[in-house]
Amino acid sequence: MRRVVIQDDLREAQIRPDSGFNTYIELLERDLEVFLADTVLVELDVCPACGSPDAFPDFEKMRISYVRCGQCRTCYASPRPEMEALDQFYAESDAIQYWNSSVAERTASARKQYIFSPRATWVLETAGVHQQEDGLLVDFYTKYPVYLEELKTKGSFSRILIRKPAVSIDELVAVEGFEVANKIEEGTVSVVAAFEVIERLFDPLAFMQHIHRLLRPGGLVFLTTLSISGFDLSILRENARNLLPPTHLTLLSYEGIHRLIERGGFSLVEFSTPGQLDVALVLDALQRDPEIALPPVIDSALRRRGENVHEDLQDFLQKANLSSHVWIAAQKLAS
Amino acid sequence: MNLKVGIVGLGKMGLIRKRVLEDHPSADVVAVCDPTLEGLPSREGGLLQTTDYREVLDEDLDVLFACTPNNVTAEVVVAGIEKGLHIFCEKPPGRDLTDTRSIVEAASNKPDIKIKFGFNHRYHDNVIQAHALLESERLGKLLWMRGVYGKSGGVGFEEGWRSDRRTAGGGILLDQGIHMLDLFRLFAGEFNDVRSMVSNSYWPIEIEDNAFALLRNQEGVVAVLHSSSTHWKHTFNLDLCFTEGHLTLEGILSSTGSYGPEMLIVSRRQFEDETFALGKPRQEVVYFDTDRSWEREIQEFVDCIVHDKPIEVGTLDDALKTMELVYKIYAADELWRHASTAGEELNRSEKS
Ligand SMILES: [Zn+2]
Repeated sequence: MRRVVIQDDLREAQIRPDSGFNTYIELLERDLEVFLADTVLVELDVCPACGSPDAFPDFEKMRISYVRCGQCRTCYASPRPEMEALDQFYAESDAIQYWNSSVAERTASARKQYIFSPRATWVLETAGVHQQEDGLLVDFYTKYPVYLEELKTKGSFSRILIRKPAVSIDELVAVEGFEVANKIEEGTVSVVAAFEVIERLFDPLAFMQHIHRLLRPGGLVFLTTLSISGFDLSILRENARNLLPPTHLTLLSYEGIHRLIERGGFSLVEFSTPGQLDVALVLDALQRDPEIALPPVIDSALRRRGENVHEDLQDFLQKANLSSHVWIAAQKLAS
Repeated sequence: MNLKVGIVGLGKMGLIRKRVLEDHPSADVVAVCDPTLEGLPSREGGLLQTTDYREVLDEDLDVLFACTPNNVTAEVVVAGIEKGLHIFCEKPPGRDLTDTRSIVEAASNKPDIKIKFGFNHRYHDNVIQAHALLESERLGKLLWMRGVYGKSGGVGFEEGWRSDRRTAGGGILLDQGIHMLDLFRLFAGEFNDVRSMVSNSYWPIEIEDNAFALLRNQEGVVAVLHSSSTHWKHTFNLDLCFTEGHLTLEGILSSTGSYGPEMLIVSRRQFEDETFALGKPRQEVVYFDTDRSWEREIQEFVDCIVHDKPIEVGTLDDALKTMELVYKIYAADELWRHASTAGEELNRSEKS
């Protein structure tokens, strides 16, 4: 198993500029109010990661209640909207349209440099090591053609298909210049990529099982997500500005991710948390609300030490898999 | 039918091989030999234990593992080849080129057997992933390499068989540096230009405790090696510089963990983009937490035997070429050439 630590100079404002982000949140709150008024929410009987029925209330964010799994500590929205309602929300939300048309555009160059190029390189190089670089790649619902372009120009995949994440629904979204899959034959796919998808699904396990059926034995799945075991989310919880329903329905814990991968029939080849922003996000939250309680040693490190300590702490968080930004690569076990 | 395996030599390496073989579904260890075993021979639970390797060879075997001190390696391996057994031989392939040549000669009469040498580092994750990156050419063309492999000889170091010229044949370069040379060959092929300084600087032994080598291949790739047994901090470090990026293999997982953790550090050249600090590029440090090298190595060997495929890693040719490189390094230092038998060794080898 491998884990990666990335040393770079990303700043939050480069990918989430303050003004744009505030507008986005305002719009999202409005959208959500309308959405929740006439949407049926479904209570989950068991943890979406480990399957345990043991759960207790955790917090509420934007009228959505989150509970915590007593076994794997995954934090998840319950009750939650079903996939069909979520799809409709994503298709119609003013906030999401605003993000895609305005913020994503303005931050495109930084996003390419810090997010999409590294993801493409990650997929290409890991697929190379596991001899999966020449076959069919399926990307679930990427909104970012930049990264698909990189996969196409730098890689040797025979075909790249894009597909919606919903397991039950076959309505598809086109990205210019890329083929959209109507039906994919099971057992034919070398690589599946699903970035920032798993947290927004009604049923993450069903999604993992779906991917498992698509992949050929030895095939790889690449996932990124936000983890509640990470530094900023575990400290800030509902106060984390970047924790937003309904996009973030399931905040998997470190243990929850392991259980979900295992239950889906995969074996982990990489678990990395190459996040660069945890410390900066907590510092930012402290600026807005100095009353946020921190463990004394973290309080000292953040409030009474300089930038070097902040950088060292962020390095350590990555190294110890304690950043909230998670990269997972897993391989389909030969059944 | 499982492969029936005999192991000669149950030192540190022999015990590792035995453990991995015992866990392997297609192999059974049926005979072992070590001069230090007591109250022998015995046969318990189907396992022959003896102090005489010839008794191992008298068993009904498919495969022989030679995990012996260097002075008996060639003798044991040649006897195994003559019996028609598949051979797994620890590195180095004997004390010197004469030993290695005798193995090559014996093998030339038995084209159907598989012979593999324990150049185990090629199965480590940081090496596998670095090699995949090199092959993909994503970092461009290889320019140069710099490898440091050093250990600290401990209490009693000078009394062990590895420190005795008659038993070992050579010092730290032959014992440990040979792994780095094997990796140099993996990444850059054969070196035609060899320069060196070989020294005995600290330990009261007849063989080298430090070797410094400067190598160049036909394409102009230069490699620098420092192999040392006066490296008080255990070190494995290999830098590979490419036209478009840089790799550092830092640490290698071992049973004691003293060379770990195992990392591959990847950075890409960024000096065209002035938003970055020059010389401080974005860096990815990949950590590897488990050592699967021993299992992979045995798996490949068993696979080649069972499916009659050619050995890919640690071939007889690899063993001979890497051994020749070791002796070219010894001989390239005028002082060391005279102080050792390296010159004669090379001459003999070139004539044969
Ligand atoms: Zn759980």
